[in-house]
Amino acid sequence: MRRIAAFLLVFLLAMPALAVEIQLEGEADVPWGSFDLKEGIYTIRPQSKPMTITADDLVITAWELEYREKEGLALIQGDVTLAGEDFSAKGERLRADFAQGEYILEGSVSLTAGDFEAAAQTLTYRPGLIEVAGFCEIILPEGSLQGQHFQIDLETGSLLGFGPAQLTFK
Amino acid sequence: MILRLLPLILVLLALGGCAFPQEELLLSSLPESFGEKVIMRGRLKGDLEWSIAADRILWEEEGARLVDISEGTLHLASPIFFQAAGGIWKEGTLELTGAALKTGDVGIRADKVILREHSAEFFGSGKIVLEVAGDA
Repeated sequence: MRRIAAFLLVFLLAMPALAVEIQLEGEADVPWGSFDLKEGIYTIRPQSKPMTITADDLVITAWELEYREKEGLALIQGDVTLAGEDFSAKGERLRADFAQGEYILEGSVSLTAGDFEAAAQTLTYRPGLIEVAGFCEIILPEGSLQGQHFQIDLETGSLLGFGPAQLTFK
Repeated sequence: MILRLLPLILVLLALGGCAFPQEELLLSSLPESFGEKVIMRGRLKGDLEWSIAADRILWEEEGARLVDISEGTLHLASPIFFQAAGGIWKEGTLELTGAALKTGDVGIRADKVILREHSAEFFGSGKIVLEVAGDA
């Protein structure tokens, strides 16, 4: 019995869990959000200051969030910023799957990661890895790179391109 | 016979009129005394049932004022549990101040929460915490 209890305790302690925190500031009579009791959907729209969302080592700011409890998906929009330890990005919309640790930023995306600066249509972040896709332009210290699909390894700082790309030196 | 009983009937009718409260709203949610807490049950407009345990209930013109709600439940398929520094029950809505709610893996703190027919609305400053178990 003790072995089972010890095993359960170790299992629970080892189970990965993430607390996503959303901070909101506003005035007492101004609503910042609601929860649909039937559909299980949270809609957050702060009026005076964008909300700050922290998930693991990521910090997201935005003006609007819709979180669907059943699917565990958050749709975030309105001057979205997404920042981690080694990068920061901006875009129009963000789809966040907190459980899978996957974040997809869309619409006029700009990115700064180490020596790279990039503009793209979409950006996908997974821990340690960023992919940019669509029409992409990467500004390097030596010049610029244009293509459709690039991958940046945040741990090694390496850049990997897929498909045809055009490199222009300064 | 009827004439003899008539005064008695009139007296009984008068007594009945005085004994029943005028507001139907309060009739459906009279508090029960339970230990040191007051237990109260009611329904939001739309028939969603709630129950609370509070330190005190004050009956005021604007509604029933609740003080120190220690155990509140909104009885949904996935219930919402809440605590609040205070609350007002009026016209089918429950307005909470200094509230903390918990449902499933979501915890919410807000300066003010209004529980209505189909929604909970949040006001002032607040914080939402989602407990996510997964690959992250």
